[in-house]
Amino acid sequence: MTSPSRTDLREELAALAETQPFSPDAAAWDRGRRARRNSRVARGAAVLAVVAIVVGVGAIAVRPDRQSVAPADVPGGALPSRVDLRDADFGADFETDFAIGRASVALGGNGFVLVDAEDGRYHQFGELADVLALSPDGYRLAWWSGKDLEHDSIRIADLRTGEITDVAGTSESASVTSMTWAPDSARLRWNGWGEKGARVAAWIDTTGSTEDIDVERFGARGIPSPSFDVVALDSGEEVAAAPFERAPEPGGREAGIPVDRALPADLHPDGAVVTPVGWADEDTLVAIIDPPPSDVVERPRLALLTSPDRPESEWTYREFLPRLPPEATSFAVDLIPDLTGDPDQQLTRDFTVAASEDSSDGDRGPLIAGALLALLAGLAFIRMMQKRA
Amino acid sequence: MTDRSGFDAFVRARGPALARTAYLLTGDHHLAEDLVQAALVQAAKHWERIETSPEAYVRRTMYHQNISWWRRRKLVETPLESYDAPVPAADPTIRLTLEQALRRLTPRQRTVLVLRYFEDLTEVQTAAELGISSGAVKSMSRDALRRLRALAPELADLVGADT
Repeated sequence: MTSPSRTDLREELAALAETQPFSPDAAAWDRGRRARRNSRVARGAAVLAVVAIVVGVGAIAVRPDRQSVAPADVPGGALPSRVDLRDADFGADFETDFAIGRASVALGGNGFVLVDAEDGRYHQFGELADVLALSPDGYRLAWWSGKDLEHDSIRIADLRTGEITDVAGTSESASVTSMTWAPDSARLRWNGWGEKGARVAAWIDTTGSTEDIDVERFGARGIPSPSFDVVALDSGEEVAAAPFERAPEPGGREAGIPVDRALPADLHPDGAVVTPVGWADEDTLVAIIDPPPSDVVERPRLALLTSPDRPESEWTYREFLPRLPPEATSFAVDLIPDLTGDPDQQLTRDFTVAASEDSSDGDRGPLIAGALLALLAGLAFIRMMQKRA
Repeated sequence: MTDRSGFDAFVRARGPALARTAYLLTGDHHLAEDLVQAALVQAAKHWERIETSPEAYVRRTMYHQNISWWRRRKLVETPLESYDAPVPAADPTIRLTLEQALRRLTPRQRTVLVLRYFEDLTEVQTAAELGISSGAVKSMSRDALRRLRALAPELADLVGADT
């Protein structure tokens, strides 16, 4: 084969090419710049999508487990963020083994119910309880089932071992009206009516000893603070200020000194029934606050309120755990974390979320795989956009 | 000089030359116009990046775009049975014969021919422009000339003759 005549071929090609006119299109620049803007927007959106996916995948991958949802400084459980018997999934039979571990809430009624502090599950027992009290640490439950029943005595269940102790010391004809644990969760005080219609009270030590006390003396009623310097009293009715008693001076009167602690009037202009349930710390009472029924407030809630022993300038008031059912009367207040003063501090745990997180553990794999696929698709899209550019 | 005015100046100065190449690449006046415009739109899109040497970018875009367009159109290309049929010698001029024969080449063959014999690029430069090997350029160039001779034997003086 011979090579073509480059000059001749080029001349012929050039002559052919000369037949092509050229008329510049003024829109070319605008079209190009518009395409540039669109490309940038699309690329930005793709980058955002990829970033969102990466963040999402990261969040899923490193999402803390349910333990870290709990208040960090309360080992062994937490108060639930809601108490509602409709959440309970009771079996066909009542439970009989009290060795359920730590409880957070006790609900009275026909067959009382304990809420598990670890997982929020509800345990229903067939025992009748006119009066019941869960210890501040959540490991002991005391109840009295009323007169004329098989167990006409105060019973205390150790929720660690399931062991039940029938406590002697209540006279056969006494009626128990209330029981209160001391902050140490080792002593239980009961109040009631004696055989002759007189008020009676006694401290029961879980080791077995019992001490009758003078019902007129300071500490014979209400819930004492850890130092026993202040006692919080039931208001019994709607009040504008929560009633307390301060310890009397040594050598002086034996009864406590009444002292009030005002409720926030802006929250409860019509007052509220105050029912103490324990002390979160020496200066902070935990109480059920039950304002009058209204369109806004339907059910009671828990509240933290500073002891009147503190200067009024230090008083704080915070409500939590709203919409308490009337059966929820006793709480393991030791499960409230050490208070930091942060109004947003988490005081309870949402066990429904924790349960769904647990149940979704098996589904996390496909979720991550899907997210990774989306991530790869996003990267491919960006690469395609770059190639087109 | 602003971006827009620089682009306009480039189009005014080099547009006609680009259009001529485009015609040889496509073998069709309308397609050539579209090809130039498409390449210029791409140039405007990336002007900040290419403004120092826009012509090289536009030409390369045309080369690749033409082959890409052909791939999309090839389902309606001329059937193969008439592929090597000689061009009717209705037109007496060599130029018209060459024009018709060029249209019967594949875009790739035509592009190689244009780069080698119109743009005067070497095999290596042509290979670099098209992103293929020098051997492929050589092979395609030989095939293109052979086909031209087959399509129009009267072009033998122009494209060389088989030994």
